[in-house]
Amino acid sequence: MDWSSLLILISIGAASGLFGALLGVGGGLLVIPVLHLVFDLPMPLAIGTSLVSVVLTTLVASRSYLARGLVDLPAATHLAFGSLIGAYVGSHLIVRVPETVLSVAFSAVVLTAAWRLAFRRRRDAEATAGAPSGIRRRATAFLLSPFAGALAGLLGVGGGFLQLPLLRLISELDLRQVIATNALIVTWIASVASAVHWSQGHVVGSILPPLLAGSALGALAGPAALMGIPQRRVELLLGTVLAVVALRMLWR
Amino acid sequence: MSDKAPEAVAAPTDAATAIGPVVACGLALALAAGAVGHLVSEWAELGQRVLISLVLGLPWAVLALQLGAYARQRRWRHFTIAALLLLLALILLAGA
Repeated sequence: MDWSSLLILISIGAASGLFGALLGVGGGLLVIPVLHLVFDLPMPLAIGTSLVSVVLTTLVASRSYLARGLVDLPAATHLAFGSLIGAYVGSHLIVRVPETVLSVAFSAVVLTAAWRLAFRRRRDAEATAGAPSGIRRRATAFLLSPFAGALAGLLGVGGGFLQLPLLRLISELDLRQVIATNALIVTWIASVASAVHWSQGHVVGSILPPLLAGSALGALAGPAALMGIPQRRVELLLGTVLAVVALRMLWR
Repeated sequence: MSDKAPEAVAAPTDAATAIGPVVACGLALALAAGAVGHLVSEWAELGQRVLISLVLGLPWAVLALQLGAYARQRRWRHFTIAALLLLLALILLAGA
């Protein structure tokens, strides 16, 4: 591997770790397009390799959230059952889906993520205000969690921002606690999905050491590095980058 | 969950203090194995295997530590649910 590839991998790992630690999104959303567009990896390999870095990024974030007592572990374990099964099934489905469909579906999810980042506050307030209550809320969350897991297993992204509203349905946590609890669920989902992708030969081991080293650095240094920059600006920056990336992938 | 959220969020501090060093050591070991595999071509496959196995196993070590905390706190309902989740994960990982 040449020096430029090494630097790109460390940098993109650091960027994903940094955004992931700060916003609870960004792992696969950033890594998959780079592996696909810059390193010419087919989508299944880009997704499988990226998922391992997502495990690391969300694990480092979860460690910090757990230490601060922000994670609602009972809510995480309840919601994770369906998500894990969904992730397992979704990861197995990848070999049956044509690569073009994967690329278009991935781009659609990235565009949705960009939209959510741009309009996050208003949408979250609306979601909380209009939420149903009691048993119906929990039933909805448990029924939908396998789909969130399946999307994460199939596309390597989406688990995070689809689980967030589900967590808000079954718990009365504030947004910080929801993001923290969600990070732990995504760690578990990505772990199972990565194992399936690894067994299918979709994880490129030679890329992982620099990518994971960058992710660890970004996740550890992220909050300190971005201290003083308003979170809204970071969200808008990431949203713009993701929109450009999604359009580039659709163009291809 | 929702009716017990404040307690649930605040309670597992003893597990959280154990989780920090375990995750830090595990990740350091995984990255060291990855680095050795990256630098020494004869050990490339072994280094990558150790790296991936450790990274994929650590999230479940976190849950196992939490399981121990629930047992010490005698919170058997949470213990049972966490144990079942861990069992499901092990089945899925083995089936992968």
